[in-house]
Amino acid sequence: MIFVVLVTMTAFWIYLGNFDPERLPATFRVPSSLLQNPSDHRSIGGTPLGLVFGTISLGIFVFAALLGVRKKLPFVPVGSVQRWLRGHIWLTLLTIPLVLLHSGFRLGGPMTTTLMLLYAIVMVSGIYGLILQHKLPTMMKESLPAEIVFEQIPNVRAQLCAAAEKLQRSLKQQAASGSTVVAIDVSQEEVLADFIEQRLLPYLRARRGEKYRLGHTREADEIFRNLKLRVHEMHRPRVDEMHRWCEERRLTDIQLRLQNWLHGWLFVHVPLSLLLLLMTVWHAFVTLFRY
Amino acid sequence: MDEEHGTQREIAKRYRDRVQARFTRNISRRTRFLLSVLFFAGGVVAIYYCEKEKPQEFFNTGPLSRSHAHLKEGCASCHVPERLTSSSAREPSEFWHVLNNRLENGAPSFERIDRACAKCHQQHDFHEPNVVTNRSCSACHKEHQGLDGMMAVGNLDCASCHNNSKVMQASADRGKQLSPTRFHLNPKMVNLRQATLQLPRPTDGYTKTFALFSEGHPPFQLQRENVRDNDVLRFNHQRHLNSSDIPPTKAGKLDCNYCHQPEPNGRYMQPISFEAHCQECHSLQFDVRNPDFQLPHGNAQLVRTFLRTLPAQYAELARRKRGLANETKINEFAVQQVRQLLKQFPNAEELERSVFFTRDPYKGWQQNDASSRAKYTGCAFCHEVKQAAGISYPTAEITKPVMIERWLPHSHFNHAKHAMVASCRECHVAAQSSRLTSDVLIAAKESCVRCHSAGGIARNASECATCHLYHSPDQPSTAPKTASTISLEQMLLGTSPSGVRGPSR
Repeated sequence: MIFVVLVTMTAFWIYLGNFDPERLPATFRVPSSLLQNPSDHRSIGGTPLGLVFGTISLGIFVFAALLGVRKKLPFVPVGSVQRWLRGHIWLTLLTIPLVLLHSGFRLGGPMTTTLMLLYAIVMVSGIYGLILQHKLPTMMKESLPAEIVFEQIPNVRAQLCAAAEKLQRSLKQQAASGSTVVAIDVSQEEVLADFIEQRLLPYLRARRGEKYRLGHTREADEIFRNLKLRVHEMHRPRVDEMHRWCEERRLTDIQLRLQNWLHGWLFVHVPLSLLLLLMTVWHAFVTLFRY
Repeated sequence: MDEEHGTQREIAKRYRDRVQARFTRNISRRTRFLLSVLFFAGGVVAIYYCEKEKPQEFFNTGPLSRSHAHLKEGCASCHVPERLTSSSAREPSEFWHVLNNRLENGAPSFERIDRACAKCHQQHDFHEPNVVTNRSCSACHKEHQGLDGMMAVGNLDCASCHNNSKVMQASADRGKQLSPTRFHLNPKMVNLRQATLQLPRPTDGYTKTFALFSEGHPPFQLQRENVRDNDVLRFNHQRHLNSSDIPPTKAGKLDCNYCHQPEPNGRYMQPISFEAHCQECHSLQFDVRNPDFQLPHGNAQLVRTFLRTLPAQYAELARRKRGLANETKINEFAVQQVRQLLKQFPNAEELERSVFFTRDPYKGWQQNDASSRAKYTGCAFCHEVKQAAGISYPTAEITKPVMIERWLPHSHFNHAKHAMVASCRECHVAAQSSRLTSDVLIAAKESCVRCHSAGGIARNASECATCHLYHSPDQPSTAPKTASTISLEQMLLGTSPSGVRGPSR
């Protein structure tokens, strides 16, 4: 961070020294070695100093894009992914002053306006993601007693469904073979099997659990409390087990929601970053070699 | 599910046999990848579309001015692509060469754009010879500002050099090394047929560092150097403007506009002539008995010949104005008139001397005839009249007056525009009290600043280019200089035969 702050201050100092020297106190005059030759260019970006700012920014963009490549090639000995990520974050933050100074605080024509818009979206999404990456893990730790590997969530859900179906089959078999306890005219096993059929399995199979009453802690507690009252004591451990499955399912829902927040910004950040890189390279090529 | 929640190890144990699921299909990643590919492809398509269909719209920072909007080749008319992008043989060294050039000199390449400008603007020329670095056309003539035209050259454009002490010092140093003949009036600025004040160039040239006309622009050179008008024609502005005993002219009360009449384009004033501006009051009627018998004007030799052939002149008067046809009567008329005239002078020689040298020979006539206009008072009343050297007979020589028409040749001015908002006296303040020809009555810089500054009514016309021109040809004009300009130079350099300032009247 110190590096970014120092570079930012230096960049602003050189910028002011070259383009608005009157604003600098006499003690902060920029040495002549850092002063560019007088330039007739109207836009700051076209001046030699502006081009330096732009070139450094483009270099950082390329480096930032290489993070994705680095992740795909974990065996390449070019520093740990964590280091790359840290560099990705701080260097791209450094591009904010550099891009602003390169643009001279102007949007310019349609091309540069588009670029600035893309850059703004990418940076805002990146900073948003950075904040989420710092906040959400703590939240997850607090709200999720046991975090599941994100990619395993579908498997865990499938296992929950399989377990419920297995229990249902077992209960049906028991009911068919003769129930030990009969309440009114329905066996306890049938009650549980019906519950699994009508309430539990739809919830466990659902894509979005929060739509179901079992997806809410209080309501689930109430439902299972009532169910317990309706079944014989010998079946209550099964009810508790179903309750745990629901709890686990709800936790996967929470984790999935948090994970979606945690990674959702990447749907904006990554594709637009690539687009930004492409457009920036085009911008640089056209500006340097065509106009 | 038999597993319970627990430590990481316990959790890991739960998924021990399902590690491969890590590498199974992940919709989230796939979607992200697909989106990235889609955006990238979309970007490529957009670039292709913009390159092929809308290159001018997409890269254009603004519409071109009307004068350039018609250019057939579009962007390429001015923005000549680098060989790198047009040549089939692309060499890496060329790429780095261009890149280095851009990083050193900036982008786009003004050198190339300037060359494109020169294709049409053949007469393009640059600043004063002592300019340190000639600026690019595009630096001042900013395009892409809309159809209404290119952005006017602003103060900042000029101040980028003129408010830079280093550049100005370098310019002053360079100017000292150049021959004075390299510096000359800009023919676009002055009409060399006008009598123009051309002061010697200051040692440092015009290199004072300043940012704005109202702040730091030095006083006009003729103010700084307290220049005096060395014209030999005597004229008293105070007498003509403020005297109550001057009867009205045909055009009304005598005022500035009676003599100082603008050119048809309204910029400067027409030259003052005796016939148009003086004669109505200052008649050349030297014989009080014959109002239509007047001396010729403009040539001393002609006046001398006229006086030495008075009988013949009176005879001509008799024929043309009096309608006499009889030669005897004509001769009698002429003899009688000459005799009457010579009653006041011992001889013709004295008459001639009086006409040329006496400043007010017929003052008594004026007093007797106060209702009439100023009668002829002698050439020396207005002119510098000298005795020709080495001649005993009173042969008079009249120094030809040179009235300066352009006092500030480094700037241009439009009287008509200013007359709409101010009277003559508001700017030419000293005219009211000036009694000497030598008084220079040009408005001082402070007078201009009143309006041409941030708080003035002409704040929108306070740019350097309001008065000055940047472009100045490096070669002097081939236009022939008029006699008046040469005489003026001689006069200012002190080589003029006359050097007498107008006396107070």
